[in-house]
Amino acid sequence: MTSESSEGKKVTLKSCDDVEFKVEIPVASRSILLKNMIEDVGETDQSIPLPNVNEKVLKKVLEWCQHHVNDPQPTNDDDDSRRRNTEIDDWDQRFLNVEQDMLFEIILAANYLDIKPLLDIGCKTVANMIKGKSPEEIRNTFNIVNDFTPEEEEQIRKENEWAEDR
Amino acid sequence: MNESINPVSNFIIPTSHFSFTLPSHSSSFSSSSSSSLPNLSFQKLTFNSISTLSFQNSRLNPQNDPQNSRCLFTIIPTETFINICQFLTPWDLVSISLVCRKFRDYLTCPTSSTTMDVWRISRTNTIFFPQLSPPEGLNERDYCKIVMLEKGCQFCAEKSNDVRIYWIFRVRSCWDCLMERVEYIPQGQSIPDFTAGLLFETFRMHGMFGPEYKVFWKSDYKLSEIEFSKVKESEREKWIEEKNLKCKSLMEDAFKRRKIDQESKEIHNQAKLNKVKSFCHLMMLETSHDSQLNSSPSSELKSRKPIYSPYILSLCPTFNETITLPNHLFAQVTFKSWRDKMLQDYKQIEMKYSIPIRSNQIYQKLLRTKWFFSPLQHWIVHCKTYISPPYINNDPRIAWPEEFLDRNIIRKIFNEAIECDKKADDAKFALRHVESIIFQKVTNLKSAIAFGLGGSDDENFNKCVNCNNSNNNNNTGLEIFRCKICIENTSNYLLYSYRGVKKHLQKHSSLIVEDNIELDYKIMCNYFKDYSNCWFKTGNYPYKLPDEIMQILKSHRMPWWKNSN
Repeated sequence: MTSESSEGKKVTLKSCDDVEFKVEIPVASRSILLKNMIEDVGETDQSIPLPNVNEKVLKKVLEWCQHHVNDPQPTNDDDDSRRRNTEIDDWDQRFLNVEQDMLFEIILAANYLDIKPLLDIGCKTVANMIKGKSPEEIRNTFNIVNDFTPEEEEQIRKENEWAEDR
Repeated sequence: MNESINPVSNFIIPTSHFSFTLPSHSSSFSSSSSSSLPNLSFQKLTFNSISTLSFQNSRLNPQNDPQNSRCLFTIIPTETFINICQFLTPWDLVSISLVCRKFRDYLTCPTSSTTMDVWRISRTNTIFFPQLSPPEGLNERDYCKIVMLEKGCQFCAEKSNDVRIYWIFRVRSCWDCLMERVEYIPQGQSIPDFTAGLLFETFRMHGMFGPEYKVFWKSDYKLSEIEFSKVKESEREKWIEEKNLKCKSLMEDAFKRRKIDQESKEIHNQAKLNKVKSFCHLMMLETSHDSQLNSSPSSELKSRKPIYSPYILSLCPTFNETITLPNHLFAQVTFKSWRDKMLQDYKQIEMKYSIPIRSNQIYQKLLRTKWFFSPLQHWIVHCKTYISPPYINNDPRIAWPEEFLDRNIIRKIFNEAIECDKKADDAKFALRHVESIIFQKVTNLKSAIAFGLGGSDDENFNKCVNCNNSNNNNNTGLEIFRCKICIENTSNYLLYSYRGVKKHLQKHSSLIVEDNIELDYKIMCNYFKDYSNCWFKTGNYPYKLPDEIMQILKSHRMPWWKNSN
């Protein structure tokens, strides 16, 4: 498990299914988790295991990191403007135009790896999928099982009758 | 897997942590792969076990765990769910809270500050509402429900016009439901002391001049009564004073909200208009990309042309439709979706407005042709190709190349004009023949009437008597009749239509005698010539024709060009 990156420019990531990725440090640093790790540990030949991310997802996430490698690091100041803006830029939109399971896996990976901007666009994408839909439509979109009992459902229906459209 | 929250520990711990769990796992493996554990390097084994462990535990692998493959949405961490929710409007939150139990729990817990944060963020992000925090006694979720979900009465779900927000009571209710839930005391009656801390409305119950009532929320009223009865006699005055003070600020708050509510419709509309205008502005700022590519950076700024004309943008129906949307639908409008819709409108309107430009392109070209100044020019406007030219890709916005214009359009129009002219000549020729036959057959007044020269029967008589212009209306017939009495008596050779002459005869005697009507053959002949010459334009002929000939003539008239295809 010797790595060639003697210059210390690269770091090796290992997905949960044992696939190794050699990544340039600036790219890996898009992830706050990895950034802190690299800073703490310094140069290392050891690969970093990522037990929560599989090969497919890690590849995808690294693709995003590569594309956004020069973006400014997000600060906490623009929290509000970030929330308001539901637009997603074209590249990201194409990037996230994947199967639903993949989308959620990317979100989970972004959450785990602490990549805020990626997590945000992932959440925005999901939010856009929800917007303007009825509960039944949301269930169908995400294949969610309706786990309310008929009595509960009746109760909920009554509670929300006044807020319904017609 | 919980250790992963701390990045440092995650990196360092695995070697020690998972080595601890190693025995149990390797034993389960040993049964299938190897009988005993060989002396593997510690390091390697550790990592193996990590990957195996996480692989099996991972809920992310549907193929590994078919039971959980239904949807990852339901198993995402709470903070991620909240992260998603912050991009949703309150209406979406209501929808999503009805999807399944888990989401409902996340979004309806009245004591959770996270739940309240979600509703607050959603409310404040849906900008066009007054940004007041909820009044005392309402949590964020209920506040959203009352203010923004602006639909029916929260008690009976009635959606009639008298549903209003009563800020004093912090409810959205219709009148009937409100009345069931309040305690009211008529003006003049003594008001109990214990109501001091209660918010109240003043209503006139029975019409504009009816008695005034002080209205309290019933449950609050009763609670207060009980509370008051428990207060010691000596402390009652102080209690009332305290309550009064608290009540005052709450009342002020409620009045403020009521005022905002009254103004809010205007505010909302203004906010909506501003938002749409800003969208519009964004679209107007878009510049064409083509010129960017071709030009150097210095000339780029000059050559950049806005793609969308403000005038056409303002004509798009979507522009006004968006403003009139109800608030909950308006909140879902994003620039992207709005722009897409506008683009559809824009394209259609731009196409419509491009038609005159294209038709001018044809006209300019036609002006430079030889035959434009020949008699054929009268037929151009009736040519099919001129009326609806073949646009490139059915898009009138695209200009025709000169070559295409010459070969496909001008030539076609030319041919069609010639054909028009031919057909017109044919029809004129046919009509002339018909006329000469009729002329020969009309020998007396009776036959003239039989051929319809006197116009149709008297049904429309009163209408047509005012318009002497018989050329325009073949129903009134030709003015080719004279009154014999007048000719004999006064040498008055005035010409009348058949109806006119009959009316005229009434002056002489109440009894109309047909013998007194004279038919002028020469003038009739002249009329006929006129008709056959301009029949093609007017479509009128003053005589009755046999059906077959009518049919032929109809098919030779100009509208034929418009109707075919």
